[in-house]
Amino acid sequence: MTVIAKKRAAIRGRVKKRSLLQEIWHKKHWYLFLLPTFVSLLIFQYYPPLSALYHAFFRWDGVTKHFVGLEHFRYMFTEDWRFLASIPNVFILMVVKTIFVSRLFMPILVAELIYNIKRPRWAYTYRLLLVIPMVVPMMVILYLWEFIFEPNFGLANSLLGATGLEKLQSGWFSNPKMALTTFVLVNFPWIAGGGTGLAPLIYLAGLLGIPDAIVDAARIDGATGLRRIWHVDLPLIMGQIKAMVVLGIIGRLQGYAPQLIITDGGPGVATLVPGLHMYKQAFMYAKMGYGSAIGLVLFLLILLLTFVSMKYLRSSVEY
Amino acid sequence: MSSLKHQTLPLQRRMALRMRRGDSWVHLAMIGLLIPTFYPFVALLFLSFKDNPQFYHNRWLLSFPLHFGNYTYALKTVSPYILNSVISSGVTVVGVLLLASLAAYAFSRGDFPGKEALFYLILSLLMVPGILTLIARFVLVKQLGLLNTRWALILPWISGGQVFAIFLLRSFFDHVPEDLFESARLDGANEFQILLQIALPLARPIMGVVAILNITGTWNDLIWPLVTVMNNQTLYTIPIGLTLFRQAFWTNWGPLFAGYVIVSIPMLVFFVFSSSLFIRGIASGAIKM
Repeated sequence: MTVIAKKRAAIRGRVKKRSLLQEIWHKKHWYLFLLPTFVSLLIFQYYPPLSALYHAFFRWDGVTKHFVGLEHFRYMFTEDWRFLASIPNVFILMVVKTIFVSRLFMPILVAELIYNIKRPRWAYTYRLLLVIPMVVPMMVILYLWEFIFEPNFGLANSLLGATGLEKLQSGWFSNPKMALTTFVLVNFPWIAGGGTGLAPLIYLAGLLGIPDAIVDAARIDGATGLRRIWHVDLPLIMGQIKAMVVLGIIGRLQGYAPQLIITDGGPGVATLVPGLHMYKQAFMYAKMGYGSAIGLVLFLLILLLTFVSMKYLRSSVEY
Repeated sequence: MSSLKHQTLPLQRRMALRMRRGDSWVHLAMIGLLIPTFYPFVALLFLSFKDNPQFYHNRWLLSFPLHFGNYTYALKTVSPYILNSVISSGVTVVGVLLLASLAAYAFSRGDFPGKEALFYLILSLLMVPGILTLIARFVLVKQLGLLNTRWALILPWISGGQVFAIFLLRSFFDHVPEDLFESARLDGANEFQILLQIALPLARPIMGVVAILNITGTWNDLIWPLVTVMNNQTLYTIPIGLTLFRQAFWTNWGPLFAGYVIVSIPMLVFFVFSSSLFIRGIASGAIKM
C-alpha cells in the first residue's frame, strides 16, 4: 500500500462513531450559545400559552382556581351577549378596513402609481414620503384622529360645516350607529402610518422585482394599464399580498388598542371587539380563566382564518 | 396644426414629450393621496402653537403669534415618559441583539444534535398570538414579583423579540461564505471569538433592521405596560403616559397638541439616522410567503 493509503486506513481505524450523548458533550459550546435564548423563551414564551390553555378550563383570579370544564365556552357562545356582539364588529373592521382597504386596494393602487413613474428621482421621493408617517407613535395617531372626529371642535365636522355639508356632520365616535364606521375611516386615505404604510412599500418592492423580460413581453402582447395589472402584476406579487393580508388579519383579530383608547368599546357595545372584551374580563373583573378561554377561542379563529387566506390567495403564477 | 407639429420633431423630443405627459396623471393621483395623508400632521403642528382663543377662532391654519410656551409647558409633563421609553426600549434592544446573535450564529454555523428541531421549536412560537399569552404572562410576572418594576417590561420584551430576530439573523449568517470562518478557525480562534470578531461586524445592517423593528414594537406597546406597570407612574412609557396626559390636558388644546408633537420627535430622530438601513432592508423583497 502507499504511504497515504496506509495513513488513511490507520486514521479510519482510530476514529469511532460517537454516541449521541458524547456528540452532545463534544458540541456543548453550541448549546451554551442557545442557553440564554431558550431560558428566556421557556419562561416568557412557552409557559404562558400553556398556562393559558390550562386555565381556560378554570375559574381563576390569578391566585385561586376552581375547575369548571367547558363552562366558559358554553357561557361565551350562549349567554355572553357582549362577546357575541363583539364578533361581528371585529369582522366588519377586518374585512372592510384591514383586508380590502388597507391591504389590498389602497396599497396596490399606490404601489402601481409609484411603479409607473418614469423618473426614479420622483419615485424615491414618494417612497420616502410614505415612510415618514410610520415614525409617528401609534398613540399620537389615534389621539389625532380622535380629535379629528371630535363632534364639537374636530376637523371633520368643521370641514363639513365649512363646505356646506352639515347634513353629514355626526357624533362620529359618540354615535352608536356611526362609531364602528368611524373606526374604518380613521387614517384616511389609508396609505401610510404604522403597519398600513408598510404594504405599499412591500408591494412596490415586489413589482420592482418582476423581471424586465416579463414586463416587456406583456407590453408587446398588448397588455396595458388595468389588464396588465390584473393579469401580470398581481399574480406576480401574490406572495407579498398573501403575507400582508395574513399579517393584517392576525393583527386585527387580536388588536384593541384603538377601541380601548378612544371609545372603550362604546357607546354600549357598538365598538366592542373580542380582544377588548377579554382585556376587561381579565383585568377589570379578575375573571382570568374566562379571559384565557376567550384568548383561546381567538387563537383558534386566527389559525382558521390564516389557513383559509393562505389557501384562497393562491395564484398559478408564483414568483 | 398640433399633430403635424409633433410629427416633424426629431424622435428623441417626441419620446420625451410623450413620457412627461403620461406621467402627470400619476403625479396628480399621488399628490391627491398625499395631501390628506399629511394634512392631519400639519394641522397638529399648527394647533400646537395656538392658545385657546386662537384655537376656537380657527382650527385649520396657523395663527400668529406662535405660542412656544405650549411646548415648554407640555415638556414638563411628557419628558419622564420619553425617558422611560428610551430606557426600557433601549435596554430591550440590546438584550434582544445579544441573545439573538448568539443563538442565530449557533443555528447558522453550528452543527449539533437537534439543531433543526430546536430551530423549528422556536419558529413555532410565531404561531402563538399575543392575545393567548397576555393574561398568563401577567400572572407569571406577578408571581415573579416583578410587577411595577422596569424588569416587568424589559424581560418579556427581550423574550418576545427573540424569535423574529433569530430568524432574520440566522438567514443573514447563512449567507456569509464559509471561507471567512474557516480561515479564522485555522488560525485557532474559538467559535465565540469568531462570532464576536467576524460575524457580528458583518451583520451590522441586519442587526440594524432588527433593532429598528424591535424599537418600533416596544416603543408603541400600550397594552403590556398598561397591564404591568399601571401602579407605578414613575415608570410610565410614552403610550400610557399619553393617556394620562390626554386626560389632564383635554381642552387645553395648545399644550395638548404640543405634547403629541414632542412625543413624536424621538422616533423621528431615530428614523432619520437609520432610514437608509430600513428601506434597504424592506426593499430587498424578501418579505413574502
